[in-house]
Amino acid sequence: MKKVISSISLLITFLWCSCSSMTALAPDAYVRYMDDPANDLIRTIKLKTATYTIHLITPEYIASKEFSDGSDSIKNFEKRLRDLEGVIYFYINIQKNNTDNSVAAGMAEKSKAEQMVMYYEADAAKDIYLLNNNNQLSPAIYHYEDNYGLAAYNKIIVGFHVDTKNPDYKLVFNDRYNDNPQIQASYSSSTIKNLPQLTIK
Amino acid sequence: MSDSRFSMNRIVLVLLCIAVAGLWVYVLQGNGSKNNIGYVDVGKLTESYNLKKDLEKQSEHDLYQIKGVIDSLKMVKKLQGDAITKVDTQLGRAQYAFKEYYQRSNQEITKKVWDRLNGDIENFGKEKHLQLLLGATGTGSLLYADKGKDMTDAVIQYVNKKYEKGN
Repeated sequence: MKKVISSISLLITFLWCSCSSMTALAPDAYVRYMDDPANDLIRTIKLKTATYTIHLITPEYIASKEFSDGSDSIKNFEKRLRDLEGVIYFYINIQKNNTDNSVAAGMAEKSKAEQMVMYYEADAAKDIYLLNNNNQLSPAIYHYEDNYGLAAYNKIIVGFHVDTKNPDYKLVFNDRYNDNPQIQASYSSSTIKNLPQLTIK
Repeated sequence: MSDSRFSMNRIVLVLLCIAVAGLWVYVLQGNGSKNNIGYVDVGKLTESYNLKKDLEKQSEHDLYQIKGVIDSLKMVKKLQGDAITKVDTQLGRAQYAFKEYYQRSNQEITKKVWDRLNGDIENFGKEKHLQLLLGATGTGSLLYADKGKDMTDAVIQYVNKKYEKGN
């Protein structure tokens, strides 16, 4: 009887350990994990006019990237983590799918560049929201990376104050510039809860 | 001598078995690919697509706002009596705007829904190794198909998952 009980408890412990996100990673490994498409944090929505890549990122990811050279102290790293806490971030990458490669189309596109920058800098934040635990949240942080036409994509970083106890997130973006409504990316609470821990030495 | 002939016969027999098995697999695969044809009830698919539902919800919100204006103008008109006034012109314009917006939003929704569906259905076909996926619209484009070829529910599930999850 004792043997049975001990083997059951051993099995439960094993299952608990394997199911919970007990993996702890160093900052560089943590960044690699988050950047790996296999881990389901990067979503790609390919549409006719544009391809959207949405990447969920955590405060740990941002801090790890900022302190990747290892020059700063652990104290500063931890302080930075505390500053970023309670907010979940998303990178939104918008890549135009050029179906018309003619010179005229290229020139027309360039003439619209100012309009595009104005939209992504001033208005796009109003067209993005996050559904978290049945609440519709507006962005707490919004930043558009203006690449001055040097790159063929637009990049936005957006952050939301979220209920970290119920981490089920659905990001919705109505891209009015490209006329692509309801760009969505959902992340279940199990995906978020299974993210690895960050360990700093 | 008889031993070597016996072993030779066995090798030939094994090779023959392999060849028959290979042929059988080839024939089965051939028949399998012939079965890779399905059809989709287009009406059911578009009505069940969550993007369409979400876009209609947005459009309804705008239509209710215009309807609110129309109702207010009708109320003013009622108070004014039968005399033709500026309110009539405003009411006519609001009613025209309502119809115009309704038609335009319907066209836009249909276009956006199909822009998104086309890519997803193509991926569905590739993933399921389909040779042909027909769209039944109920207007005679598909006259008969066995119920077993109906892939509507599977396609609805696939496109909605893609839409909700993001990829």
